[in-house]
Amino acid sequence: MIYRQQTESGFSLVEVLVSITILLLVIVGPMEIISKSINSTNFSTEQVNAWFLAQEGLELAQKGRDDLVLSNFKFQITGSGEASPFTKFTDLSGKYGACFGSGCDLTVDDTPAAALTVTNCGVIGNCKFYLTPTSDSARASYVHSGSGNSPTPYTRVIKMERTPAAGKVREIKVTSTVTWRTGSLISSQKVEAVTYLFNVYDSN
Amino acid sequence: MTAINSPKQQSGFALLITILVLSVVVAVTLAIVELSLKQLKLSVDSTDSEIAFHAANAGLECARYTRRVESDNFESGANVQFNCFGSSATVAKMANPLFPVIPAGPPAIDGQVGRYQLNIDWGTTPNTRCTSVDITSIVATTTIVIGNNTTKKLPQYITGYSSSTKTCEAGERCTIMSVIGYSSACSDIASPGVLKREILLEL
Repeated sequence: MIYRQQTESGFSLVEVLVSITILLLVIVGPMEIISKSINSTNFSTEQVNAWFLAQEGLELAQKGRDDLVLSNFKFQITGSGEASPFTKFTDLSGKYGACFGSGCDLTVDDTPAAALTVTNCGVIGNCKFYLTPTSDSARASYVHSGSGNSPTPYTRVIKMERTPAAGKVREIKVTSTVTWRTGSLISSQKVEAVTYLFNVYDSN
Repeated sequence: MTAINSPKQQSGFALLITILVLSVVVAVTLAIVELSLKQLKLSVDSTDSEIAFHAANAGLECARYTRRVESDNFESGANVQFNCFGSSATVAKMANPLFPVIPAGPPAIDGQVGRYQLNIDWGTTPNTRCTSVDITSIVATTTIVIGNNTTKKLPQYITGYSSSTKTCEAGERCTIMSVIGYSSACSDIASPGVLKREILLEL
C-alpha cells in the first residue's frame, strides 16, 4: 500500500505554481510586446496620414496665393482680373482673413474651377475631417461636411502670420497643424508643418 | 520494464512540445516587433523628410523674392540684402564662384557672374530648421559658359544641377537657384539622421 501511493505521486503545489509562473511569463511577455507593437504601428500609420494632410494644407495655402497671381497675369493682359494679388491674399478682412486670425482650413472644391473654400476654425469642430464614401466614379476625399460621410480622427488648422505685421507685407509664415486621437486614447497627437510664402511676383 | 519506461518517454515529449511552442511564440513576437520598428522608422523618416522639404520650399520662396527685389544688386555684383524668415542678412558676392567661367574674368566678366550663398536658421528650438540658399546670377553680354571642367562638372559645384555645364547666350540673363532644406539647425546638418531635400530652379 505505501509503495503504491509513492508511485502515483502527481505534481506538488510548488511545482504547479512555478510552472504557472513560467508559463505566464513566457506567454504574457510576448503578448504585451505584440500589443505595444500593434499600437505603435497604428500610431505610425496615423502619423503618416496626418503628415500628408498637413502637407496638403501648405500646398493649398500656396495655391491660394498662386490662384490670385494667375488672375493678375490675366489682369495685366486683358485688364480684367486681380490688380493687386498679394495685398488681397494678405488682407486681414479678405477671403483668407480667418487664416490670419483664429485659423482656417482650406479645401478644394470638387468642380472644374477647383476654387478654394475657406473654413473658419474659430469653432474647432468646423475643421474636423470626414471621409466621403468611395464609389466607382469617385475616390474618397477628406471634407469638413459630416452629412453622409464617415468621421476621421483628424482636424486641420492653417494659421498664417504676416511679416512685417504692419505695412507692406513681405512674407507669410504658414503653419499647418493636424491633430488627432490615437484610437480611443484620450491623449491627442499633433504634427505641424511650417513654410513661408513670399511675394515672389512683380505685383503687390 | 514497459511500465517504468513509458513515463520517461512522455516527459521528453513534453519538453519537445514546450520548446516548439516557445520558439513559435518568440518567432511571431520578433517578427511583429521588427515590422513595427520598421514602420516607426518609416514614419519618423517621412516626418523629417517633410520638414526638410518645407524648409527647402520656404528657401525657394525666399530666393525668388530676393532675386526679384534685389535684382539690380544681383546683376551688378553688389551686396544683396536677404530679408527672410523674420531675420535679415547682407550677403556679399563670393570672391570666386568656384566653378570655371568661360570666357574667364576680370575685368570684362567680373560682376557679370555672381554667386551668393547663405545659410539661414529658423523655427523655434527644438524645431529649428536650416535652409541653405545658393543663387548664381549671370548677365551675359557675350556668351558665357560655366562649369566646363575636365574633371568636375557643374552638378558638383551647384547641388542638384541637371546638366554638366550651363550656357548663357549673349544678351540673356540667367539665374540658377539651388536650395537645400535640412531637418535640423545649420550647426547640426552633418549629424547622423538629419534629412535634406533639394530644390533647383533655373530662370
